[in-house]
Amino acid sequence: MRILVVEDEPKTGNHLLQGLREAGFDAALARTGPEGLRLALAEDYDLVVLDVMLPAMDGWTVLRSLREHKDTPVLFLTARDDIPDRVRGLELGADDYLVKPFAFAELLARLRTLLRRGPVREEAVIRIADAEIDVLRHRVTRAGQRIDLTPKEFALLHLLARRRGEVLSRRQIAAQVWDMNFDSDTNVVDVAIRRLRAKLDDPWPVKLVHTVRGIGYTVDDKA
Amino acid sequence: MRRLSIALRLALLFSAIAAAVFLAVGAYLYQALSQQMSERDDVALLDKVVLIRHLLASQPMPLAMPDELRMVLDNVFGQDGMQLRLVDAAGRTVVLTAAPGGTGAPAPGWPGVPLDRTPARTDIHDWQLASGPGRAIVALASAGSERTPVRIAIVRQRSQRLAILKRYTADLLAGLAVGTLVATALAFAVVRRGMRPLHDVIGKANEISTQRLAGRLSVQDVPAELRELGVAFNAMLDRLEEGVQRLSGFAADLAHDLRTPLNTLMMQTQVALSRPRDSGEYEALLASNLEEYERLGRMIENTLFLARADHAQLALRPVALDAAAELAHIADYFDVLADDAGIALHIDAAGSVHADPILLRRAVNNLVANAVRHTPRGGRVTLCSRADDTGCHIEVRNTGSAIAPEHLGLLFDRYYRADPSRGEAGGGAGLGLAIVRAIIQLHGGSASATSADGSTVFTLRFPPAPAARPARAGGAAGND
Repeated sequence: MRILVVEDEPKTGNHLLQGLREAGFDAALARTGPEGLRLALAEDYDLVVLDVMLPAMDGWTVLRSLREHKDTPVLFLTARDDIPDRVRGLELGADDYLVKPFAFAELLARLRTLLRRGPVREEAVIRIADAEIDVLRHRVTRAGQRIDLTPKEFALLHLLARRRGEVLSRRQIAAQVWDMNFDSDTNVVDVAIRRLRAKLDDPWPVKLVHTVRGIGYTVDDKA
Repeated sequence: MRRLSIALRLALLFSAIAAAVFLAVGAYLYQALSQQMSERDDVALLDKVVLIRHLLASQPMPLAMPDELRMVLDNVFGQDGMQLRLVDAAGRTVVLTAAPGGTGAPAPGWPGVPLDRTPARTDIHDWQLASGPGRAIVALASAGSERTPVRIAIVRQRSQRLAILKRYTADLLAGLAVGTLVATALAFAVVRRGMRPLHDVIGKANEISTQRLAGRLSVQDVPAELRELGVAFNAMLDRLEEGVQRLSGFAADLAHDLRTPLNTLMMQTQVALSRPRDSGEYEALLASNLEEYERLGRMIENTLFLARADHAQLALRPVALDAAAELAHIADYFDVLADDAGIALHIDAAGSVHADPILLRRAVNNLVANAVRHTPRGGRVTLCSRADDTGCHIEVRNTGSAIAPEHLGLLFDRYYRADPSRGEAGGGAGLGLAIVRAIIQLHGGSASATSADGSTVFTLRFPPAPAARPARAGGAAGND
């Protein structure tokens, strides 16, 4: 998957590039609007990450010119989150936006959605190490032993297991499991994870739920 | 077109009034004068009739020497623009005085005023002369000792009177013009003078600037009409000053609150860099930094939210919501947390609430987060709602130590912490309740807190459905 990042702030640009490459994307960086536009038109990228505040030629202009020729998905980054700004971007043909500061995990999640990495595997039974998650019957076992989870604990495990290996931020988890779409400033997710671990991981040597400090949580059979 | 100044408009109005009044008075005077003059003329005419009668009666043989008589009478009549004709019984003109207007008028053929009656004004009639309109009278008289019957006809011109009236009219119009001009000038001067307090007010208003909002118009020494304006102006200044103070206080608070996490970041990063460390330590540092960054980000987000709520820039999309469902949704989220802290979470909800769903959840979420944070193990948090035609009340009640009364009114203020030593969990920076208040004020409702007997209650009052958009609410939340 080829991604073009258009970002004038040197540190931000470099870190985005590094982060995307480490996440397995083939990423390129343009530092000005005109250069970004030239690259986006000349090459075939699967997605463009576009900063709005660019010198010489702002993100809106780049977006407008790009849309005249190509339908490459565009995710724009903005430090301003007033409604007219967002609406403007979406009207000009952006596919999504992120407000700075954003969590890198959040950016990856949005990119994957935009790249239509296919719908997440919706298996009836998800197997990770010796754990079996029966999605239809809401039953979880480890090594054949039944684990009794509350509905929320099951929803939490199911979310992480479906996106195995992906790090989900607390905010993403709160939105998916509890339908809380704003930053609630509470440690509900942490407590829920702790309780899930107590039932799912504590009695077994192989741990499935992992904390990625400062970012969030992931489920995988290897740490 | 530019609007005329009030002074000019008033002055013009005054001059119009003055002109109208002068015109009416002038017309009346003219009318009165012309009336009086015609009366006087008629009286003179009657006097002449009486005089001639007397003259004819007292002369022994007046008609014997008509020429002499005419010479006498010429003197009497000539100056007054009258003409006398004496006609004897046979209808012959005996005497005809010189006519001032040229051609002698024919004698009117009216029946004369009988001898036994003194002529009156009703006997005088309009009579057309060659030189213009005139008045005429015919009377019977007897001449001399013979008592010869004679008809007296006197005709009089009006031209003299008209000339006088014409002059008078010219004088009147000139007076009217001058009077109107003088009235206008005076009115303008007086109005300008009357407007001086307004200019003083403007001058004072110009002196007041953002730097010196403290100045106020003194409303004692301005005229009554301007007092109201002054009072309104001062009230506006009060609100502005409060806004500016709040803003600068807010900026100071924010700067102070941003310093804390920034200081932590700089310190721990500098300490970490002061000597080589293993990767585990670096990892711990980065993770710790990330927590501070998130705290900063949250603070900025909350501050922006408050600033927008303050300027009513948040688009409010209120809909009818089932209060029970909304409270259940929030309770569901806090269920794990409450259970973990050994707190019972209860819902006692009824009715519907007219509110913006996202903002309602955010407000209730902040209240419940607060309640759970301050409830000791074994306590209970209750979410309750009641709706009637005055709107919907949502209460978040928790058991635990009471909040001191002096803190209650200030709880909703930004950065206010009843216990300064205790920061909010999750780096809320003391904005949680301020956000609750901003949200409820956006809905045109109010928030309050009461605390007694080991239980604390936060109440949100949402107005009923067709809620009028709130005026920019300032001030503290309403208290019961």
